[in-house]
Amino acid sequence: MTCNTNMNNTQSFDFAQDHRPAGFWIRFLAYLLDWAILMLPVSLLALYVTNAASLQDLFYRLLVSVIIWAIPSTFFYTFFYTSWLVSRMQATPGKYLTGLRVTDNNGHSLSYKRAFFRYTVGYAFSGILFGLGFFSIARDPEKLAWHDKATGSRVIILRPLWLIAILILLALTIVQVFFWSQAINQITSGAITKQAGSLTI
Amino acid sequence: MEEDNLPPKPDEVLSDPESKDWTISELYNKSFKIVKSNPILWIFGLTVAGAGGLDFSNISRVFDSDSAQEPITQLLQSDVLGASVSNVGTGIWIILGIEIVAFIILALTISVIYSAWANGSLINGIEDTLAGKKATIKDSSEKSFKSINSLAWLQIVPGLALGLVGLGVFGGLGVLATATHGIAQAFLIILIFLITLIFLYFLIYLALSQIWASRMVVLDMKGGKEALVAGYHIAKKKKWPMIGLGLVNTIASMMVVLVPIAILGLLVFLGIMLAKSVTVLSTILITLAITLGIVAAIGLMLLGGIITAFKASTWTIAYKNIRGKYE
Repeated sequence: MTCNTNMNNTQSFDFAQDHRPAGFWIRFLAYLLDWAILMLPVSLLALYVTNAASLQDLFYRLLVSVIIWAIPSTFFYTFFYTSWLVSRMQATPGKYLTGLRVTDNNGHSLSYKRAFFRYTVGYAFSGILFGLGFFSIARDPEKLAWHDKATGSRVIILRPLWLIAILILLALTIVQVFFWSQAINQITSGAITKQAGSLTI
Repeated sequence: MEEDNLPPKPDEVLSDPESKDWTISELYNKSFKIVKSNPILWIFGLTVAGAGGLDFSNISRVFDSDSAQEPITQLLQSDVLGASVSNVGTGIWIILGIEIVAFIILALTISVIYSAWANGSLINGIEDTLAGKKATIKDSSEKSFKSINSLAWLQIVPGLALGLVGLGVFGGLGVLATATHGIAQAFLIILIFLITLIFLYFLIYLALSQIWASRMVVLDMKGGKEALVAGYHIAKKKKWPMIGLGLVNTIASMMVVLVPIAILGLLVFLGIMLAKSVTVLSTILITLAITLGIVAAIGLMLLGGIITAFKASTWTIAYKNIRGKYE
């Protein structure tokens, strides 16, 4: 038992020495990239919903949006986007494009259960005191957040792809700003506003 | 000889006179030292307080929508929404209903896991501190993984079983009571009252048993059912000291929380009272109250975590004192 513990500690130490831990800002960049990716379907649905010809049509399209994305996205995010991808690829798409990897303390992939725990309970734990668990990355010597410590995981920099990540984030942001401006334009200049206005009189 | 004539100390009155497994002062002194020097326990305490446990008296909050009813009713009176709703096919509503139910189940499952993990980590953290080590997120969390299933079982199954039985019994008797008249109705009402007392007895014992059971699950790696039965046996023998400790904990935590709230309330009250006469002073007082209110909100959150950790610590130390004695 002591032998194995010593070996694990040694492996852990070697792994930590070989790979630079990802700091707060690069992890935040990866998070923003993930957020931008997940917001793409929302932006497209906003275009779809605001293209309604009447209030009745708007209601119907909203309902369809809730059914095909709003609720299923929580399952998609919880079971696939975070837990499954992290257990298979060691990263979410945002982290992957930023050159980061999520591993256990020995550099191996997290199990599906542990990844699920990290992104549900772990994130809730880190967010409990106004996100102090996330900000603790900046102060921790090993750049570990509370959810990293709770699940025995760490985020390392495999390749410094932060510049590519920033460019992709910029591109996604521009695309989505365009979609949302179109959606707002559809709402303000469409028939819906006139119909809503006639109801309030 | 002279010592025998002295009146008992207040904290000794609340403990078992035959075998003093703990005293309030001993528990409080040790817990204060543990919690003071381990801020990690505050965080776990905050997590436990935030998770709130999933006892089924809270589940009605999920469906609480009194404040939302009015705007929805007004909207429903609109012809447009009425027409919109009727135009949507039944299949869509069914799919929406299934998705909402699935979402609620997912949220409740994660909430139960979260609460069980937080409880386990808090107890493990306290145990590490009692063993002379520093409580850390890593160690406390890693150890608590083994007990999540059993703690989740403890949180849900006994309460759910009791709740379903209560629903069945009271529901059935209530229906009978409304359907009958005269002596039969009076008899049923008396029966409902007696069954309520029996029900309360079980509720109290369930709460007391779960205190020990959760510690047995985390510290002794017992299964949920086995721990609950063992916890019940201890609770039967130690019910009055337990109720005493519970009351002291509740009163102490209320006093700690009420002081900052009282100060804030006083500031706001003074500000309002002075508003008509001395405007500058009242403005300062109200601004101070609002600023302090924001700081107090954060402080009270943390205080809630500290109090939860403190109470958990008293029970854990009490459990370690009686471990193996009454099973």
